[in-house]
Amino acid sequence: MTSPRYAVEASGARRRFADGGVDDLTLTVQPGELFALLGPSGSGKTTSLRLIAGFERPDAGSLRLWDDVVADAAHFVPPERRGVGMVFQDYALFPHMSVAENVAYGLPHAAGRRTRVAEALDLVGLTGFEDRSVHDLSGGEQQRVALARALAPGPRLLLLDEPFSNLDAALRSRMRAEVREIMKRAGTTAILVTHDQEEALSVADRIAFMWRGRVEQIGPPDEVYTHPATLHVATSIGDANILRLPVANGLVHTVFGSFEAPSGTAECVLVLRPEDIQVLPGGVAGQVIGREYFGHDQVLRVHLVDGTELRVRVGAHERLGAAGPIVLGLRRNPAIFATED
Amino acid sequence: MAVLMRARPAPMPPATLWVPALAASAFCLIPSVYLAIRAAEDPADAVATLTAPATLVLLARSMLFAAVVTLVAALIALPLAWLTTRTDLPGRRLIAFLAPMPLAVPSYVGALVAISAFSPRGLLQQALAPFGVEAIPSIYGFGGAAAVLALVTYPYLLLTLRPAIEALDPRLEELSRTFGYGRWTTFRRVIFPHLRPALASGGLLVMLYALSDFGTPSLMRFDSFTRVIYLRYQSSFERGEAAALALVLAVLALTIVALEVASRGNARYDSAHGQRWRPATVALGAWKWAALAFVAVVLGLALVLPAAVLLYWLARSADTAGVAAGLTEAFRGSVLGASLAALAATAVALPIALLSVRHPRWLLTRPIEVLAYTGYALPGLVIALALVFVSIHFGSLYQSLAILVAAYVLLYLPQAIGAARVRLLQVRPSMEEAARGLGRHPIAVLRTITLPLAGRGILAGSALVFLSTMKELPVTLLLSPIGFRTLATRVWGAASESFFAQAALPALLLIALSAIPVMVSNAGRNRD
Repeated sequence: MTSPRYAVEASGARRRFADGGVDDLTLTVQPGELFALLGPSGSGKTTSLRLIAGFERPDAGSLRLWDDVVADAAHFVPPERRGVGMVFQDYALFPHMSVAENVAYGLPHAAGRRTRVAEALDLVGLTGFEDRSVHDLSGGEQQRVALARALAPGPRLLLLDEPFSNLDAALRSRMRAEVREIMKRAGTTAILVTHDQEEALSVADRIAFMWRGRVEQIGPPDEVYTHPATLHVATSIGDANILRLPVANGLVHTVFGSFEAPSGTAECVLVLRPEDIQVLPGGVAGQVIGREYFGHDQVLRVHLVDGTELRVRVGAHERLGAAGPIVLGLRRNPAIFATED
Repeated sequence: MAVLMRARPAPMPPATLWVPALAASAFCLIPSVYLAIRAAEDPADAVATLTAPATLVLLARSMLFAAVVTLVAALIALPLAWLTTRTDLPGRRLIAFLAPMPLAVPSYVGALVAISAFSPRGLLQQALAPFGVEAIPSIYGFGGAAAVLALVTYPYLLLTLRPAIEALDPRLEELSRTFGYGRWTTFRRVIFPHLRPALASGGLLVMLYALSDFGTPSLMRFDSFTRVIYLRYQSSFERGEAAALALVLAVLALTIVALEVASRGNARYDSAHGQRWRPATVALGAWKWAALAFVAVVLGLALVLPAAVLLYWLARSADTAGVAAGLTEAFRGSVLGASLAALAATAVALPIALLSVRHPRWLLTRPIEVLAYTGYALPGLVIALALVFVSIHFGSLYQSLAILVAAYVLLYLPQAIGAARVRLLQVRPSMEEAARGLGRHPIAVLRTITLPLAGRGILAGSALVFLSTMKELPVTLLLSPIGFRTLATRVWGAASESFFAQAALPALLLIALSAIPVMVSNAGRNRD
């Protein structure tokens, strides 16, 4: 038996709605990988997940799970025969069933059913919750039940649709780390849909950034963050200074120096991360006009000599007031994109 | 997410839903087709009937009657709803429990009681005779019929108003008061606009009831549309005229429904999302005596009087032979008819409710829903005439139990759909999808998730259909198989010949039986 090449392989999958949907879902997910679909609302990420789960049938293109075709022009495997687990944003726990009944729902009536329910509850740290009513659970507990229910049948692929968005901030970051650990321990391949860049960056092995129904970039979190492939990716993930500047002789001139511009464009966009600018003696002079202090660091609003306004992230140790002179330089060259339209 | 759901182009729903739903729609078309055929049969005659001055007078009188009944019912229901939900009225839990109970009193029993108590030779006059009172004002006609109907129909308004008042955000009232507006201005400008959708939908039910009720106007000798149609129909050479008048009545009822739907278009229904605000309780102070007096008059007339009068007649007739004769048979007939109607209506309603909730954007969902609401707008008498026509012309269905039950289903399908739909709307699609994702076939998902979760709504719908069928009169009179007796027909038979003593026992039984579904659906509502 050869091991499958991909857990998920989507090529050109399309599902259009009047006001959204997916135009072209093309991506591959490796077995055992924790993959995130990131994008603003309406970018098609939830539709993509529903295509993979089988709740939507693609208008065009094809979809394979573990090398088997599950959807194309001729075939369509319904969700109940895909072996895919799903955790919904609202958890979708069955309110007329106990915790154990919820978890057992996807298991066949057979010996060992109770053991598997116990195992699944143990995995999410809810041993002893079997007979509880789902109404009596906290948000975090409900989410763990949803996770246990999805994992109990031993799905080959787990799909999570904004699973953390209904939790408060503290619980959210704890559950993220916990879910990642559970996934890794269970060896499950998982796809996470989120609009929260911090969540995608911190949890996923790889990220696909979606924009208006298309995948704009796929890669590991650090690569997507530091080397955005498109302007959307650059401006959507992380804080950024955006500078629109004219191109002259293939070069774009800034106070920090001249950079090579993309060819065939009269104007281009520079994306400068606040942390890519630093205090540099002998650099460009400016005036601090505002400060947001975060404890671990601070972001300064700086007015440069040429009139440009920049956000600059500096360490908390830099003793700077909310106003006063400053000199700046770059740590890293800016990402430069041709302007659209 | 919700936005996306609405935007999805409609895929074909599964055949297990659309096949039965379409079949039901074809069936619901029968009364409309019948009316069209009858009107087209002899157009000149139909036009003559429709334009006769007598018809126009009848039309105006019926509209005024329906409007007066609705207004009086609202004047009873609005204070009752407010007093039982938002004030410290003593005994308000008991009052809240009793207030919808007149639903269990069929309108013709109400009329019978009113006649027996207040007619020129009735109980009141007899009691007053020793004091030299020779005559009391006549109870017959417009006023009496309107009063009786208002007293048995106000619960429809009460039941739609109560949740609306409970859902009112008390902060709105408080806010209005901080602007310096008094209680009355606050009510007029803040509360009333919020209650308007509930008033409109409950008022619609009352108005249609008043327009289509047959028993009360007949007993109270008020020439309503239904009474005139029934009399024409019985003199068999005037059946064409009966059909033409039925057509006018149907158009009038449909116009009222259309007006209500149009008025709903602008209203926004704020869902009970998120936090629920504990309503502030208004201390009545000395006003509580006035409030209690009001409640006592309403419940006294609507509940205590019927019970007392019927028990009085029962006591008077206890020694009369033949009072109980055939009662078991009538009881069995009522329960059989109502049970079959409840079962059949629920079975027909489920696929339509599922289509409406899960496939709202499919091409045919709206038309199917509209057709299913035929019975809502068409008076029972019209539906009965249509089915008489069909059953005589096609096969040997005339006066069979099947056609009777079919008529009940047509008439009360909207109640079954409405109740099931409300519950189904609360079953989130993600639950069904989660179940499918866990490897269950759609049919298994329906059985293990959807139906159990919507169970209470489905049960409440069945209870409503059972209740309405128990009380139903004109369809039962026209379509019952020979020898098929129900409590309703027995009460009617005795009452129309003024044998009140013989009507008392079946009427009491009917009220007692009807009280059960009222309590069932009321309990379901209260737990929400």
